Amino acid sequence: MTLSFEDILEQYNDILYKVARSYAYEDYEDIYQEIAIQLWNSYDSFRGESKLGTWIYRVALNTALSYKVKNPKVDYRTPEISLDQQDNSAKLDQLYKAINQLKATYRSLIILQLEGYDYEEISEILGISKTLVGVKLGRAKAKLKSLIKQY
Amino acid sequence: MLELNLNEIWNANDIAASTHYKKVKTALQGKYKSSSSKIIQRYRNLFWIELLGNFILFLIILYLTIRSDGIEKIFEETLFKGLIDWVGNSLFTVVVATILLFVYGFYHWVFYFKYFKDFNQSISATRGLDVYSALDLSIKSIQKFRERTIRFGLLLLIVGTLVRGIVDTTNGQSILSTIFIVFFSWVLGYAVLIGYYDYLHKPYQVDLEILQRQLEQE
Repeated sequence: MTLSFEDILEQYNDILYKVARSYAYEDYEDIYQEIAIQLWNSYDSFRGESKLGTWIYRVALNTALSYKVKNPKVDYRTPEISLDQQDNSAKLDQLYKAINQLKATYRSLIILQLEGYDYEEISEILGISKTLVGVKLGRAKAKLKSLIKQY
Repeated sequence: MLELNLNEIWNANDIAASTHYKKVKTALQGKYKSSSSKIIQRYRNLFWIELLGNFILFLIILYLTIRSDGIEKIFEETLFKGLIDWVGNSLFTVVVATILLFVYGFYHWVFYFKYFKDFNQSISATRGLDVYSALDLSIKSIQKFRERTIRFGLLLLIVGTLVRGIVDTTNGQSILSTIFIVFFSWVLGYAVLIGYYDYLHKPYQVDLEILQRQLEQE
C-alpha cells in the first residue's frame, strides 16, 4: 500500500520535531515548517534507495543546517537552564537546551544515536566514515556530559 | 548532580511531537503545499528582479539600436522599393540588428527560465543526500546558477553593444570612437554585473562554504 504524503508526515512527524527543536530551542516552529516544505518539494526525488526514515532524517538535518545559515537573526542561544523539574517532559527541555549548545556535527550525531541508529546508518546519513562516527560521537558525548554536569 | 537517563528522557519526545503535530496539522498542510523553501524563495525573488532588469536592458539596447537617423525613411518608401533599397543601406543593418536582438532576447529568457528550473530541482534533490554531499552539491548548484546567469548577462551586454557599434559605424561614426564606446560599455557593464552578483548571489554561497569548513573541522 502506498502512503500519502500526509500519512508519511504524520508517521515521521517526530523526526521533524526532534531536529527542529535540536536546532532552535525556542523558535523551532519555523525550522519545523521549513523541513515540512522541503520534504514536500523533495519527495519526488526519493528513489527508495535508503529507508524512508533515513531519507527524512537527511532532509531534516540538511534543511536545519542551511536554515541556520540563511537566518542568522534567529536566536540560537539557549536561555538559563535549571534542573528543578523532575518529570521527563521538563528534563527533555533541559536536554534540548544542552543539545542546542553543541556544534552542528555533534548535535546531529547525538540526535541520531538517541534515535537508536547504529554507526553504519549514522555514517550513511551524515556522509562520514564509520570510524569517524565513532571518534566524533565520543567527543560529542563528552561535550554533552560536560554541559549536563553544569546543570 | 542529577544523573540523567538520556534515552528515557528522549522517549518523552513521542508525546511532545504528537501533541505538537495535532496542534499544527491543519495549518501545516496548507503551508507546505503552497510554499517554497526559503532558499528557493530568495533566489526566485532575485530571478524575477533579474528578468525585469534584463528586459529593461534589452529595451534600452533595442531603443538605441533602432534610433537611427534614417529610420523615418522606412515610412516614406513603398514596401517593394524599400526592400530593395534596404540591402546595403544603414536601414537594412538596423532592421537585421533588431531581428537578431529579438531572437537573442527570446533565447535568453527561455534559457534563463530553464536554468532557474534546473537550479530549483538540483537544490531540492540535494536535501535527500547525506549531509556532507548535500552541502557540497548545494554550493556547486548555487555557484553554477550564478556563473550561468553572469555569462548570459555578459552575452547580452556584448551582443547589444556590438550591434549598436555596428549600427553607429554604418551611420558614419568613426571606428575608433565606436571601439572606445563599446570597450567602455563592456568594462562598466562587467563591473556592475559582477558587483551585483557578488552582493546578492554570493553571500549565501560563502556562508555555506564557511559551514562546510566548520563541519570538516568539527
